[in-house]
Amino acid sequence: MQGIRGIFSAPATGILVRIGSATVLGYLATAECAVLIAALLPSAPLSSVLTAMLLSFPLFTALIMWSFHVPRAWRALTDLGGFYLAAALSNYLLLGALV
Amino acid sequence: MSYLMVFSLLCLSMSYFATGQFSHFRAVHGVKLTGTRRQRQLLSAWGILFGGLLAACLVKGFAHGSLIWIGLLTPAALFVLLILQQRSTWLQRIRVVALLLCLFSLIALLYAG
Amino acid sequence: MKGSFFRSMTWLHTWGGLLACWLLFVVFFGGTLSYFRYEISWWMQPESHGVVAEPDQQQAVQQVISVLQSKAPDSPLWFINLADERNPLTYYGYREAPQPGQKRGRFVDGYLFGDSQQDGINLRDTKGGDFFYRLHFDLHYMSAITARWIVGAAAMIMLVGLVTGIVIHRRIFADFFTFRNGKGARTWLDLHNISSVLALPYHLMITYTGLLTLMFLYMSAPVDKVYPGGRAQFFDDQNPTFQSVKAAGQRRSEPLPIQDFIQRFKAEKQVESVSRISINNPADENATVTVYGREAGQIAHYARSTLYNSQGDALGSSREAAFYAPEKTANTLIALHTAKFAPWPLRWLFVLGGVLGCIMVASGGVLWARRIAEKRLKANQPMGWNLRLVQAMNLATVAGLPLASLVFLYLNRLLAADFDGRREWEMHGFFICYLLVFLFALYQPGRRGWAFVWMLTGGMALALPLLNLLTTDYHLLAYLVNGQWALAGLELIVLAGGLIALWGARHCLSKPGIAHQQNARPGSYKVVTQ
Repeated sequence: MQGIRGIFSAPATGILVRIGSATVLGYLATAECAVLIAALLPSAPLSSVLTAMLLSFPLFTALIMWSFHVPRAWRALTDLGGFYLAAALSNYLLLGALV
Repeated sequence: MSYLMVFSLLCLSMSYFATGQFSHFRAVHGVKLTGTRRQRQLLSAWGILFGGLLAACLVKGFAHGSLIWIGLLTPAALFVLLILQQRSTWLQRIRVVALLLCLFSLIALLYAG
Repeated sequence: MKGSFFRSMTWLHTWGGLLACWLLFVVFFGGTLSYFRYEISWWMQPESHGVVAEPDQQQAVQQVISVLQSKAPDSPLWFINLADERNPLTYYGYREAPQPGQKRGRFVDGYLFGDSQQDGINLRDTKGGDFFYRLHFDLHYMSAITARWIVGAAAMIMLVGLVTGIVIHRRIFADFFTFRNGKGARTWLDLHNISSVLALPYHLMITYTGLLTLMFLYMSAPVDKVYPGGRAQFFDDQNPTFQSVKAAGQRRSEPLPIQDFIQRFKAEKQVESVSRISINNPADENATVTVYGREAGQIAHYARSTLYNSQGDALGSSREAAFYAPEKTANTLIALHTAKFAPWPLRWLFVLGGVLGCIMVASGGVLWARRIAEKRLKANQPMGWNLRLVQAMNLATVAGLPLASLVFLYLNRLLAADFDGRREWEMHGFFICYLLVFLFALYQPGRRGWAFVWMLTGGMALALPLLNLLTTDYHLLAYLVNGQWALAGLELIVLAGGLIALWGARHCLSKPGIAHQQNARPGSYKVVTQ
């Protein structure tokens, strides 16, 4: 545990972890979440799909900011990763396929 | 004409926002800004600001009116900034001119139909 | 990160901004010039400056159809853009039948000059204003899709930069009217704040809507995974005029009654004029015609269109009356980005926003360099190659792009009108100039470097009307007398820009600051104490 913490507290690694989480995990989580919104909204498919796409960009912004805000770099990994997994799991249960 | 009216209203509003701040009030009026005066400045500023929005929407319709209003906020604020930067004592005269221009454009608008 | 929300957001704003600022400047610069896209194109084809447009739309349609009929009777696609307030000439294009081994035939285009002038006018080949339009999302020298992903990443950084900028700027209202001149980095911070805050609604709008224009590329998961039938079905449902009708393989006996379609379209959609017509397989029995029009005063563009088959039955029609709320929202937002609807006064307000956007990005980059320079000066550290690189990129991008654009306009007049590669070389010239300014800036990134490039820009800008006078049959005064405001306006704007550039050059030379003393001697990174 000590060793892992040592790696993550090194500034450069921390920054890289945050950048990686923000871009890769942040994008994947946004996409999954947008799919989830589109699937859950009760309006016509055309309407709900567009709504999800319109909302996705502010959501992505918030996720990027979150991954740079959390006090420790590994939190960016776990928070965004968790968010992604939760959204992906819901999509799997709801749509019956991994997106 | 409607642009002129909204622009002069927004200049007026921005000038009151500026004098609602301590440093600018001193620069323009030469005396210290007090609490009640500050409230009066800010109240007129907000009042004229939304009056401008209302006027823009009445003349140009909601879509174009609000667009013109938001668009003209930028040059109006820039103009007031420029005046404060270069000739802060002129601000009161500018207000009179803005008011006259606003009335003139209003009359012109009414006259044109 | 490292303590508070404020500090982490400042970090993100600073470094994200630095990473993307030069590309964002290119995007803002090209985007702002795109507001004058058609005017720049018109100016860049001086052969058309004396042409009188066909004022009657019905006549124009008749003429352009007969031109297409004679030039490309067997083409799979005809395309007509009718003249309007901003485009003096009717534009047409057609696709040639594909050669063996070709998927699609070559696209050929041209302009309609009215009956008497049909022959003897050859417009010079140029990308015109479309160059800046394409530059601002397709970049250059790379595939369009790659470029769009890169620009999209930069736009995301811009959006994050705007939001973090708002949360870290604690004195937004207190500093609203504050500009402290001659205070080093402080002045640049004020300039950065003013240009961002005063046009904040514009910046947020243009960044967000910029992402929306390409949202089917950037965020396609919902439409691909959730919409029944996927993306293709989505587009068919969203705009029923997009459906394609296969050719029957039988030639039509009589010509298509396009005028009748136009009359019907105008009556059904309640528009006064038609903006665009496209005709699929015009010679075939199963020809289809799509007519587009815009209702005056409507913000969302291309709100109205109808697809007709050759008998005049409407196969599909745009569903503006049945739009869902998010569709209306998306259409309006995207229309705000392109601003095609904007009449001239409103267009100028958009331009002001774009200019402030350029200043915001530029001042951000310069501010970073100034801060680091002042910090290293105070700590008695050498200036370092990284600072020099940033300074050079700042100079090359901020001052180099206007210069490169002028080179682009100059090459348009100086390259021979019938030179085969002229269209390409105008653009190569733009990038060569940019590269040269960058190399110069590496050698001289300080105030003198800025002054030199601004001086060059100013000189070239002021000489542009002269160049036009010498190389064409027209000049600024003639444009003014003829009331050709688009052409006169372009030269007047360039003149005004030239004066500003000269003022900038004088400003850079007048006050030798910290950066100048540091960078006046290349190779020497030892600190000069103030």
